[in-house]
Amino acid sequence: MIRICGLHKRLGDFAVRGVSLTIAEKEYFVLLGPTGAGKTVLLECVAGLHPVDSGEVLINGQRATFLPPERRNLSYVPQDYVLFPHLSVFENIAFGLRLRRWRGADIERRVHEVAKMLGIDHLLARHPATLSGGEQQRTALARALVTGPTALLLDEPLSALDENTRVQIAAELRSLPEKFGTTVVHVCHSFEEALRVADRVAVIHQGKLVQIGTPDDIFMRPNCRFIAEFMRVKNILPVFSLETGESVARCSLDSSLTLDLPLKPLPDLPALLTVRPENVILEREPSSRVNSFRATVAEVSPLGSSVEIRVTTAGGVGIAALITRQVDKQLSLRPGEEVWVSLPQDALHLLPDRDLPEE
Amino acid sequence: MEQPVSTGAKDGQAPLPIGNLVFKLVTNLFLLLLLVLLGGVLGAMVFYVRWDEFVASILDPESLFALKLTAICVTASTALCLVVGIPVAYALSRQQVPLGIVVDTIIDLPLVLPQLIAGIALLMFFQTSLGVWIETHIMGFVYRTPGIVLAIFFPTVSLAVRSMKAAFDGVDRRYEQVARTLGCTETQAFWKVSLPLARTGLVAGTVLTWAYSLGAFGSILMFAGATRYKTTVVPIAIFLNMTTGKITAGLSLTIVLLALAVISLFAFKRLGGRATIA
Repeated sequence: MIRICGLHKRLGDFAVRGVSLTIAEKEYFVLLGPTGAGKTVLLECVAGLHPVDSGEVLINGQRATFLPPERRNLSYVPQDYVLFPHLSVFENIAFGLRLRRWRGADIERRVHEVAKMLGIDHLLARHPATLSGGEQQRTALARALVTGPTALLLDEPLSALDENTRVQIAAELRSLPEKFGTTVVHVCHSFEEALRVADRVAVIHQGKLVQIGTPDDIFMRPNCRFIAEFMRVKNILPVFSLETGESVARCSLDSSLTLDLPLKPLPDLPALLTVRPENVILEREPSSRVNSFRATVAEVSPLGSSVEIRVTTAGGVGIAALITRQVDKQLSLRPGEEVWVSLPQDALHLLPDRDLPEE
Repeated sequence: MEQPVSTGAKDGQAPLPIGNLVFKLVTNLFLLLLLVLLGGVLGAMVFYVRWDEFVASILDPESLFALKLTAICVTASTALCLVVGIPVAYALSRQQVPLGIVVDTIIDLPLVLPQLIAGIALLMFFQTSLGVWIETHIMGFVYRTPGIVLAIFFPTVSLAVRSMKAAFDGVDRRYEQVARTLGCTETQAFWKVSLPLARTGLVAGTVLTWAYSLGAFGSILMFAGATRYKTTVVPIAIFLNMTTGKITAGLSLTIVLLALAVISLFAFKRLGGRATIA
C-alpha cells in the first residue's frame, strides 16, 4: 500500500500542491491529468527521485519520505523505457537481480520465467536498439517486475506506441497486478487509456488532486467543470432551478424544459447538469420515455464511426448527441428538421457550477 | 509584386534566390581560403625536408630521447588528467555546484592563460613552504623529469574536464534514475550505467587530451627547463634545434608532432568527441 500525505514539490515549472491519496495493495491506480499537471513529478517523488518540499510518503505503512530510491522497492518505468543500450535484453532484465547478488542459475531461471510471462523470451540475446516499441515496453516491464517490487510506477507507458500495440499492451498492463501480485501506479493524460486499465483514477490539475474514484465515477459523475470538460462531456448545461419532489428531483434548464432526476442530495445553485452525448437518445416520433422533449436539428457532423448531431430546444438550450452510423442512416436527420430528444435519468448528473472543487 | 531574381531552377525544384547563392559562395570561398592557407603553411614545412634527412634526424639519439620522454610524460599526464578529470567532470555534469560560474571560471582558466604563466605559477608554488615540503619529502619536481608531467598536466586538465563533462552530459540522467529504482546506489549507478554509457566520449576526450599535451611548451620550459638529455621533450627539442640552427632536425620532429596531432584529431572526431567550454 502506498500513502501520500499532503505532498508538496516544486520542480521548475511543475509543482505538486498538497496531494493526499492512498493506493491499495494490488490496485491498478491511474494518475490522470493534462500535460503539465504535475503527475510525473508526483510519481517521481513517490519513486524517491526528487526530495519532497513537504508532506509524507508511506510504503506498506513505513515512512519512506527520505529513503533513497534503491531502498523503496518500487520499480520505475519512464515514458520511453530507458533500457540500458549497452546491455542485452537478458542483462537489462537481470540488472536488479545482479544488484541483489542472486546466484547465476537463479538469475537465469527468474529472467526466463518473467520473460516468458511477458512473451519476450525469444528476444533475450538481442540489444534494445533492435527491438520494436512494444518489445521495448515489455522488456522495460520485465526489468521492473523481475525483482518483485511493492509497486510498479509507469510514466505514460503507452504514449510511444502505435494504436494497435497500445490496445494490446494496455490489456497486458491491466493483468499485471493479478499476474505478478504487484500494485501499479500509471501516469497518463488520456482518459480513454485510464478507463481501459484503472481500478481507480485520480485526476490531477495544476498540481492538485481534483477528483478520485472509479473510472465510472470520473467518467459519469465529474465533480467540477474541469473534470467534465476533460472527460469530454459535451453537454454541460447551466441549471435554472432545482427542486426536490416526492420520488424524483426536478431540474429546469429554461422556462420550458424541466427534467426528472433520481432523488439524491442536490448541489446548491448555481449548478450544472451534465449528460454525455452518447447517452442522448434521438427519435423521429414522440416518445413515452422520461425526459423526452422536442428540438430542432442545428448541425450534423460525421465523425468517422459515429455522427454528432447538435440540436436546439425551443428555449434555446443546445444539446449534442452522438449516434452510430447505423442510427444516423435510419433517422437521416438534416439541419432544420424536428427531432425528439430523450435524456435517460441515470445518465444525468448534477454538479456545482465551479471550475475546480472547493479546497 | 516584385519577384525575386532567381537562377534557373530545374523542374520540381524551388529556384534559389541570387542573394542566397552569393552568400553561399562567399562563405564557401572563405572556407576554401582557410583550408588553402592552413594546408599551404603546414605543407611547406613538410615538403621542406627530404625523406632521407627526415629519417636520419629522427634516428638521431637526441631526437629518439625526446620522442621517448615525450611519450612517457604525455601519457603519464593524460592518465593523471583521467583520474582527476572523470570525477570532476561527473560532478559538474550532474550536480548543481555552488557558485557554479566561479567554479567554471577557475576550471577553465588554464585553458585561456598562456602556458608560460602556468609554468611560472608552478614555479612560484614550489617556492612556498608547502611546495618546498613536497620537493623535500615527496618528490622533486622543479627542473626535473616529474616536473614535465606536472607542467603538461596543469594547462591540460581543463580541456580533459570539459571534454569528459560533454561525454557525461550526453548520457541521459534517467538511466541513472532507473538504475537507482532497480537497486543501485549512486556509486553503483555511476560504475554500472553512466561510465559505460559515456565510454566513447571519455575515450575521445582522452585522445584529445593526449594530443593537446603533445604541444605543451611554455609551462615545461619555465618549470622543468630545457636541459639536453634531461627535460627535452619534443617541443623543447624543436626549440633548441631551431635556435641552434639545426633546422632539419627541428622540422623533422615538428612533422612527427603534426602527424600525431592529425591522427589524434581524426580519432577524436571518429569517436564523436565533443569538447566545449560552457
